[in-house]
Amino acid sequence: MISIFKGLRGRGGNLRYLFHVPTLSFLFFITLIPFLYVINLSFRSYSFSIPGMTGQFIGLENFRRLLNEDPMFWHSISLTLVFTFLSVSIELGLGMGIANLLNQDIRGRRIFTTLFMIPMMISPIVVGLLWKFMLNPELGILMFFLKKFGFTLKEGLLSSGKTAFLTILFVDVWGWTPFVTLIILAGLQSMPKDPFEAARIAGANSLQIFFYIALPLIKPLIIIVVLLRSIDAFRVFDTIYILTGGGPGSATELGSIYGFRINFKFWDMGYGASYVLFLFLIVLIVTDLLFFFTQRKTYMSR
Amino acid sequence: MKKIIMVVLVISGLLIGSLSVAQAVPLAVKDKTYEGITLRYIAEAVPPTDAVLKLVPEFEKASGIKVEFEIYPYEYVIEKETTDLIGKTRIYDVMSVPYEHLGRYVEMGWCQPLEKFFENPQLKDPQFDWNDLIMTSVKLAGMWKDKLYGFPSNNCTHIVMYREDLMNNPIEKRSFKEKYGYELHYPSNLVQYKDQIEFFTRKKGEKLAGKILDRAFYGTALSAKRHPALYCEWMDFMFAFGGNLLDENGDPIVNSPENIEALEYYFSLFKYAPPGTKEYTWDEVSTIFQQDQAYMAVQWSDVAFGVEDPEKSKVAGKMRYGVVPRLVRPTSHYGPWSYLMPTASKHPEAAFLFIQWASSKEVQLKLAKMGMIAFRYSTYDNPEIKKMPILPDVVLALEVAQSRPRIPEWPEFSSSLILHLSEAITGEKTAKEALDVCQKDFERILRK
Repeated sequence: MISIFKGLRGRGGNLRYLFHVPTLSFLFFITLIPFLYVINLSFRSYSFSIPGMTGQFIGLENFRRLLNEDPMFWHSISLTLVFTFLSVSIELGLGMGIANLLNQDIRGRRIFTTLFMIPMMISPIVVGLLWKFMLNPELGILMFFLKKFGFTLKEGLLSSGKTAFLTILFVDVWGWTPFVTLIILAGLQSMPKDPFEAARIAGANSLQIFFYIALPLIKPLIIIVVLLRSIDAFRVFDTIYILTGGGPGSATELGSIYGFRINFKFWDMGYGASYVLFLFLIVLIVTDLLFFFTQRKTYMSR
Repeated sequence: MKKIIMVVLVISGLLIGSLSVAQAVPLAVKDKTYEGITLRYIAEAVPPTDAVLKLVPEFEKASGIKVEFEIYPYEYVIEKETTDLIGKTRIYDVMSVPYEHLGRYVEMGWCQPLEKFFENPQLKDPQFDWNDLIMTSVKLAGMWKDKLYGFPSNNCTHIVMYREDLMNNPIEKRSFKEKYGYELHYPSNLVQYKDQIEFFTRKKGEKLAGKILDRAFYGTALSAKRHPALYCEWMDFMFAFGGNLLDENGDPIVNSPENIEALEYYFSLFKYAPPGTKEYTWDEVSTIFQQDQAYMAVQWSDVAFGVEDPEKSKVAGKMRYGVVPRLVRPTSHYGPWSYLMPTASKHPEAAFLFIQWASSKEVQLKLAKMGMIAFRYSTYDNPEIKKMPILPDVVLALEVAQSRPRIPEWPEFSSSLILHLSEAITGEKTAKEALDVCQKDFERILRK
């Protein structure tokens, strides 16, 4: 026994692996074990509602049912992908524009930046409740102002499928553009000043400076922001659940909402596990594709 | 001499009578057999729970048993109970459960029948009086396959609430008779129900009861959000049309002709409701009434009290209540919560005493005086109760109450129902298509 310790200390380098143990065991117990449990569950028939389903092994039956017999699966996945793509693109576009603005020396920049960050700091549930009250057709403040300016809507924005989807998209953009702006602004402000001065002296205008100098320099940040926002947008739940509950009809039944329904309304845990694994798989594929395309570009630019 | 004897006899008779009423407690309570035990009770965050919370110190004093309440909103209660029962953590000794989960809880072995407690001479309340119970309520809320598992903890059911002041207004009565050819009174059937809703839908600038409206007034308000409120409301009309979700054998009949007719009738009411009605649950329906913007609607008997609160409601005192009118049968969609005792309850006898106490004549009367819906006839015979709003009309509704399926598969059923009804409301499907899909769903779920 003592010789082992002597050996560790003697080598010097191996002792550092001991310091990895707390972190690794944390990761192991908090992420790996539950993940393996979910995989196991997805092969079983387990429900908190139906007496006969107590965890029997049923192989790939859950997955077969998901892919072949569940139109809501495809519907929710496609809605989630569309939502993620649209929200991230809009947030990126707006975020870059606003970050550029805030990067310049205009009056009241600090105050405006602070105020602009507020939506990001509100908890998602409060955001949902806030907009739900404001959008109420009879009693909400939004409709009141729309009427004043002459727009009378036939029904509430959350009462029809298309407008409901656009509304939740809007609320997400409202809440998270500040986040994108913040990250890009940090990037812009930490860039070296020399290339910009050189370009300005050479006679380039603001747009050219932005596209040919600023953009390539903050590309790593953009990749990170897109990655973070994509993963988050894919998982969005609280705000949508409060605003529409997945409705009207199934117009806003995104992946997380349907997953929640399977697990906590139907109480069908086995089926829910298989659904959740699929979501995970899709996120994995999307992020891999993202890395693949962006790393390639970086290679080429080198 | 005779007079004095008479008086003495009467007084002693009264004294003995009052003594026997005062001693209407089980022996276990009188002897404080279970003193020192703490019960944990989980319930929904609604006024009936708060009312019981207010009265529970009496029980605690009399029996020596402490009762701790855990109060949460609707869906959170179900999640917490399920977690406790599945995980066998034995946290709760008494639970309040929505009655549609009764079948599920019994079949999963989660709650126990109460007969053996009633047969125990130490535990039973000699004055319980089974004949006094409104049996429709007890059967639907507390019995499964002929065994008794509990009693209603929140005995709410659907009623119609309407503006009595408008119905009795002479100007309106005259023009109604001109237009429809019969006297304006409480609708005896669903055709009259729709007539009146149509009649009272007015645009801004038109007259209502002789006054010019500065904003639109609506005949009704519907709770049509993609939410349990949707099927709760529609099922009233479904029952009134003679339809049902399951037949006597438990087979789905979701797309029966009666149901399709009921759904199409329900859709025809939308043009008389506020534009935002597709986002409403029962709470928003009440708010519209409080703001003096609607005439008549279906509502839960406990939520309806909100329109009688003078601080929040502009129409307090102007409302009246009734049973959902018949087309085939008068009806009310029953929606109670029940006291259930977990099989793994750590203190079953003490828990039983609590449930029995809450269901006793005295406590039910006290709860009713606070505005809660009781399930005993004696409560509604009480003169004080007769003078209160809503309650005298509810007892009629309780007697014709109809229940939704209480089987273990109900959670998935209700989810499917909500989804497809919502799709039909947004026009994605017709009434028949929506119910056809539901029928297929129900059949698939039952086959599993």
